[in-house]
Amino acid sequence: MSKSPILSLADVGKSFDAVAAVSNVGFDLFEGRIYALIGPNGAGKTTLLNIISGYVGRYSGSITLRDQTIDNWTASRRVLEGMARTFQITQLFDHMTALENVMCGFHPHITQSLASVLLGLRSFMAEERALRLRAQNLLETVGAGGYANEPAGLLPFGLRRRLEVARALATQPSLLLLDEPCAGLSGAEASELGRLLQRLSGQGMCVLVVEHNMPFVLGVAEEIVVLDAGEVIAKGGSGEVRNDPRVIEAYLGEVEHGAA
Amino acid sequence: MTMRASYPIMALFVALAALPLVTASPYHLTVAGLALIFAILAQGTNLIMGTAGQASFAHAAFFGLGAYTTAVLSAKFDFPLWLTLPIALCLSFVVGSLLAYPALRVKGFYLALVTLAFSEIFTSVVGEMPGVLGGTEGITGIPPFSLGGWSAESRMSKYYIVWVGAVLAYVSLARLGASHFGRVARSLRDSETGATAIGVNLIAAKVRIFAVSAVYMGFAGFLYAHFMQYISPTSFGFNVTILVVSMVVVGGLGDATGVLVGALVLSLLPQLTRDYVGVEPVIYGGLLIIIILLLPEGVVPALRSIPRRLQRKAAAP
Repeated sequence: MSKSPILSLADVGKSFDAVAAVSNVGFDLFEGRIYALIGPNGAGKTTLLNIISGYVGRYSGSITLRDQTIDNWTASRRVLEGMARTFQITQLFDHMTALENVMCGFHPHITQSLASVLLGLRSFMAEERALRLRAQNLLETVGAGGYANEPAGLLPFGLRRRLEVARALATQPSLLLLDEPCAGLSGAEASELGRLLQRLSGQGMCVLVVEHNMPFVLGVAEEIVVLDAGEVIAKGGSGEVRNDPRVIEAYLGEVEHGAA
Repeated sequence: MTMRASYPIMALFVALAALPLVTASPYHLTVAGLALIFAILAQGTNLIMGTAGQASFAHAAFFGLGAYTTAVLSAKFDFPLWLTLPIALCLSFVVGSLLAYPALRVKGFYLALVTLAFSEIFTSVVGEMPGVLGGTEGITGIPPFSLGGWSAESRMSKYYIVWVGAVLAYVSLARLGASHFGRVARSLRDSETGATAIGVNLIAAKVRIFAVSAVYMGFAGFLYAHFMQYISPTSFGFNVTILVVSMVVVGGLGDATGVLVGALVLSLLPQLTRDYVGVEPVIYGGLLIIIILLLPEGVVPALRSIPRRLQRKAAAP
């Protein structure tokens, strides 16, 4: 584990119409690790993910990315600086093919100029060929290689989720935020996604997953942050979190009772 | 869909190139030349409206800006073509960027209103300035296309220059559409949230697309001024705005090939109805209503989807 965190949250809070959605949240994320953000419905998980990724306006507290304060950064700038995300409701480009969606994801690294496009310069042609190849490889990585030429809008839900992960990976992030990536995936597909995340973290990427699928979370997350009513009520390894009485009461208890 | 240059369209351009071999009538060549100019204008409009999904109605103003810049510089100040063309294109780009920056901070209905107001202000201003801009009477005596010692005096030579311009516009827009620039434009139409998630700065991207589309509109204006050798504010009025929107919607919003076909067909339509004064707006309006209700994706995309639909029908149990 590196000494300084890749992402650090300090006393982060956000209220909507005087109702606190997130309050006094603080934790650090480090390179090469997988984190899960869990909590019951309405706990503020997606709001926190939106705050981190810059989709929520002003918030209290402070967020630093690799020791740089990013509170005033737009969402797009955060992507350019290595933060990528997926959404609870997928935000794909439905009229484009799956391959084009992933090609779009390379946006932060595109070098082609309008002049090179209009003049059909070799550099433009070469970049397009390379983008196609790399996008196809990413589609293969998420198990969607056979759907490259299908319009994203016509893909089934599970494939759309995986395609969005591929598009996020195309931005080449060092921090990947996934909002309920297992929704709509079969057990086998979720396991495959878990193995992919472990490979990515092995390569040094930091992954933060918001997820309701507890077997998935307990299987892949090295550290779990539990939110309830907008506040962090526990954080630590899966063993610590599972045995925390507040967590049992707020969340895991419900699951275990439900499972019983 | 991508906007790669398609073989049927290249065949259509070849057929248009052969037109002067079929008819040497200046009237026919003028109609065909205007259709090609409107095809450029419609494609530029399609880039911002169809491809990028921004409800912009400023195209008539940029068409006029290109035409007036060309007319004033060439007719009043004797600027050569090799200077008027880059000036007209640069001015379109700059004014496009300046308008886009505040205009694109609003969306949908409000953006439509802002850009429409810009168009109306443009025609009002040029109509109220009788000096260098010619006022309501417009500008006459615009020289034909000329370069070095050569001048396109005949209608046929003017037609061929416009044809070359239309081919260049189509091919360049097809290239842009198939590049990352085109993918970003389409990403804005499909999901701005998704576009932000890949690092697209929405305002910067919209301004760039708006300015590039303004360049195509300005280019159409440049060709128009030299082709007709006379311009007036009525050439860039509200009727042009509606006509071009009709071309884009009928052909297929966001479909480069469809918009080209839509522009050519709707440019020729007035020639078929010219004996029936006043019926033209009714036909355009009626066509728009029918297309929006029955073929919202546009005529050409609907025609293109027929084989796929038949295939699905045949495959269905």
